[in-house]
Amino acid sequence: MYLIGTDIGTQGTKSVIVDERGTFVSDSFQEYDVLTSKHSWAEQWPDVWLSAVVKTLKRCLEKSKIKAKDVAGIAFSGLYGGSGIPVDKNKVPLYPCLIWMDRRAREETRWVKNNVPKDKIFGITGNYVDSYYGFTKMMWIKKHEPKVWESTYEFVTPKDYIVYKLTDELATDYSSAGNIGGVFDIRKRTWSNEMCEILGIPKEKLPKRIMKSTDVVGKLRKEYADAIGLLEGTPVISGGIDAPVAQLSAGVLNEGEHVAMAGTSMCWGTVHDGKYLTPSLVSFPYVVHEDKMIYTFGGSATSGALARWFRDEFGSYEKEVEKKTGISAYTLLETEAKMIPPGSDGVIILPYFMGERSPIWDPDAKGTILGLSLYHKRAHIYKAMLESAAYSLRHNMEVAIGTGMKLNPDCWIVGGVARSEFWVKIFADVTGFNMKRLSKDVEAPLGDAFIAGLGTGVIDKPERIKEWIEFRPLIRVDKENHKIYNEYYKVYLEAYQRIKNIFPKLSAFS
Amino acid sequence: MLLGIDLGTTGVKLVAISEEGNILFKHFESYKLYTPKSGWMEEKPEEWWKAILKALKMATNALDPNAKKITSMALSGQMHGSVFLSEKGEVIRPAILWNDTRSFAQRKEIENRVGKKVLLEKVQNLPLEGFTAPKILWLKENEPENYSKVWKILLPKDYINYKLTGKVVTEYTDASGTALFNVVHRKWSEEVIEKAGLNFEHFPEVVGSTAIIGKISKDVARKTGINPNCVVVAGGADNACGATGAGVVKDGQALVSVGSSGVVLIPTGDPNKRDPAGRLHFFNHTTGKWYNMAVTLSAGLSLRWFKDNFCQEEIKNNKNKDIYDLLVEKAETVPAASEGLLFLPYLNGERTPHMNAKIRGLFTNISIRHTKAHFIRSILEGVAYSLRDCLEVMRKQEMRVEKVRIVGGGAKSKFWLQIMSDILNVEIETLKTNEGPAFGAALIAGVGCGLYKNISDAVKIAVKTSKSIFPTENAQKYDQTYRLYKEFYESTHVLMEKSFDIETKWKH
Repeated sequence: MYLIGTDIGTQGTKSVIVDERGTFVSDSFQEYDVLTSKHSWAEQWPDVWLSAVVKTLKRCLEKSKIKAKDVAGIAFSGLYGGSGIPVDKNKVPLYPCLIWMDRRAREETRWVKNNVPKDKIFGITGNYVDSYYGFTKMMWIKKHEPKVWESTYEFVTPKDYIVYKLTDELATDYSSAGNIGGVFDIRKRTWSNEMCEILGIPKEKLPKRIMKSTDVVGKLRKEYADAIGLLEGTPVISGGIDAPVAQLSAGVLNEGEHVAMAGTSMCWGTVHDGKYLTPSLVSFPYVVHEDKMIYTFGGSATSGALARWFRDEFGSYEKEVEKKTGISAYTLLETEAKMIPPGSDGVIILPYFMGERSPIWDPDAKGTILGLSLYHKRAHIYKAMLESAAYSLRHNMEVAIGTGMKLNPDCWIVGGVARSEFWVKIFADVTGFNMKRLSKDVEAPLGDAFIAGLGTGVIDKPERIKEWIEFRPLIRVDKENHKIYNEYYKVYLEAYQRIKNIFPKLSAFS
Repeated sequence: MLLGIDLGTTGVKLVAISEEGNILFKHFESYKLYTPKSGWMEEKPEEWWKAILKALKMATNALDPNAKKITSMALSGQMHGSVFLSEKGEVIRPAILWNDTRSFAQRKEIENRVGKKVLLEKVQNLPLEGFTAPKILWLKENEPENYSKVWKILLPKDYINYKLTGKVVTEYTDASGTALFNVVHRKWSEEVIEKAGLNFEHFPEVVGSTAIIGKISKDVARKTGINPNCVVVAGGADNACGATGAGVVKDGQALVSVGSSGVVLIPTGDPNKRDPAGRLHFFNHTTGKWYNMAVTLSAGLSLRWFKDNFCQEEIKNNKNKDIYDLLVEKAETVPAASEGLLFLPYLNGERTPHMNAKIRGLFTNISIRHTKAHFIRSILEGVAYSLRDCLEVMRKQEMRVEKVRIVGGGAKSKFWLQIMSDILNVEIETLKTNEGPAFGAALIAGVGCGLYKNISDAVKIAVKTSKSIFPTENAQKYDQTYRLYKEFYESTHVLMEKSFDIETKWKH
């Protein structure tokens, strides 16, 4: 039998087909853009996702040459949808989904900080507050789009919306529920009446069915079965948030194991039994063993996004060469950056080009390139960009270590960024953790396929994931480089502390 | 007919003018700037000379048969740079330029050895790493073999004068920038030279800007086609020549020059009117009087650095336009204050007002929505903020500035001029002919050969201004962003210094 996993990402959707031993059969990717109509806004109408899901599934199936009857099931993971999509009674979207990147809920965040004791919200939910969290975005809709709010029957996460379209069944999973933060009781694994009341979010508008990630939500409807080329009735499994699913796909099941998932943004995470909570990081139930295992992660708002921005603004020549030769513009930019020593000859970048999530939780923080001299070339800045993503990873790791967590000396790394050995080496040298890449770079969709396997009984237990994965040779920390980075890292930390108070003043001009 | 030549940082510019100040011919010839290490800036005097010969030949070819009417020529030159000459008259090593900051330690050393008080009293300036004195000491300490070969040390344009006439001399406007020259009394300070550990014998005779040095050599006349009776007048430092060419020669006037570096210059007839703390440079003017000067090191250079490193595509696809015009056009699409993107133009450390070679450039408040166009506009604005910093220091010394004349490459862009008028919050005048220090040098050549009575006379006859530009409502917005600009400097300079030190430590 074959298993299908689909990850609905921020900038694209990817589907993959594997066999029951996890062997890759085929995949397909569809790109799209986030709507950023206003400063700090980031939203999406769900039809974009639906169309990408259908397209990638269809293409991927065609490429695979397998028979539709041999597909055991299909599972989905999705970007963190923030508010989720407000839908009416008929499940029709009323407003775009305010995705994780959206930062408009400033006032609401401030209100929570001023009116809800930190101990209270952290004590119940295991999380603190930021405009990143879905509950603040729901509060924004309540205040600024009262009509939408009134008509909202339920806030549906991106992948749950897709699952609903495909099966006619509306449900969510524990990771998606927990990630909304604020209103989710992390110990009881359900909505907190007390927090719902404090925050003014009626429980009725939250997902009514919370299932395990490996539960079958429903069966594929004829309309979509035909469009995709699958059989009507194919089981559709709940899945979860992309970060923990990617975490699972890397084989994480035990304390100490940690993974950096570096794509557009960065999620670094680990799992534990609930002891190591901190208000500086995000925590919610894991996608397997969700009754006893908590996934805790830190996230930088940018990572691959930085490289992409740089390529688009300053790499037009490389993009042109890419068109002619097929060599990726990133590879070309890297070739230049390879000549630059660790620390980029004193150029230090704060990667807060989209504000920042953990651990500083500052929507006003902005990108800063400091230490520039006439001597510095474009390549210095590109390398410093790559380094800045690594500094931010280290920053998150250090916060986690501060809770008493013990981390294995090897950090696993997946995601688009992991394709670049050069960049991964920088991650190792900056953080002081050896980096271990998966030999195949399928990340979250592979985890989805695995979950589909668990959900359909094709796979008997979560521990089988360890048999699915292979690692590439370890990329070890270069001690000399690490020493240099230790010094620059201090300046990196200090830089933010020194200038954080000026950003809000400048935001008046943004 | 008069020739004025400016030996600049990016190339040599030559103009031929009539008595009335009309441009009869102009030509630009570039040469290479070498940056072998971070903070190092060098050029090869032989390459200057080659470019000069070429420019002279172009001039005589173009002006023929009137080329023989060229009766006098003078040079303006980039200041502070040091040309080390051996006894054979050969160049010992590449010239270390005004914008080179390697001699950080030597600057401190001189300050310690001589003492700030003595420096301010005897040479009226504190030596910066950009100045000549620390560069010479750097050579002595780091390249002793080269130092032992030194016969004379010349400023850049004086080397060209030497090649033209065979005479080894300098003049006081350029000598002012060595930090070894008594500006008030117009003579080398033996005391400072000696205390700094340098050799008095290395320094040439000093004459006035408008003094004739001699005729061009027969060899040069033959090679270039210039009339062998043409005289070479001593000329001046580029800032003094620039001010002369802009007609800024008297008290109450102000000049802002936006070239590679940015300069704010205010003439004075009173040698006591200067910053007691030495934050402003105090130099001789071509009139024989003085001027106060503030400098921001990376003005046009900031834009050039950006162009060279980030605009390859524009350079490649650009066929008909000046590349800078093209970049400025992009910037025009962005609103004032660049949607929050802020640039601190300290790409090569800074002189006024920070006097800090370790600070570095910074872009901040960057969001993923900012485009290349935002970066360009933020650079134009950042440079204007740094000019305002300069102006503020002068205002504190009660030098009144209500109107400034702007010259240099930056004055070519109406858009940039408007940004400067808004950020400096002053009326801006520009010149009908913006030919910079080369034009001033031509006027000096005219005074030298007796065509004009004196500098004021030359300015009256030959310098014409064009329409003024006034601040717009953006001035208010910029007043606020300027304050944030200053706040960023205050908050980040420590970081830059730390980063600089780490970089230096790990560099092999």
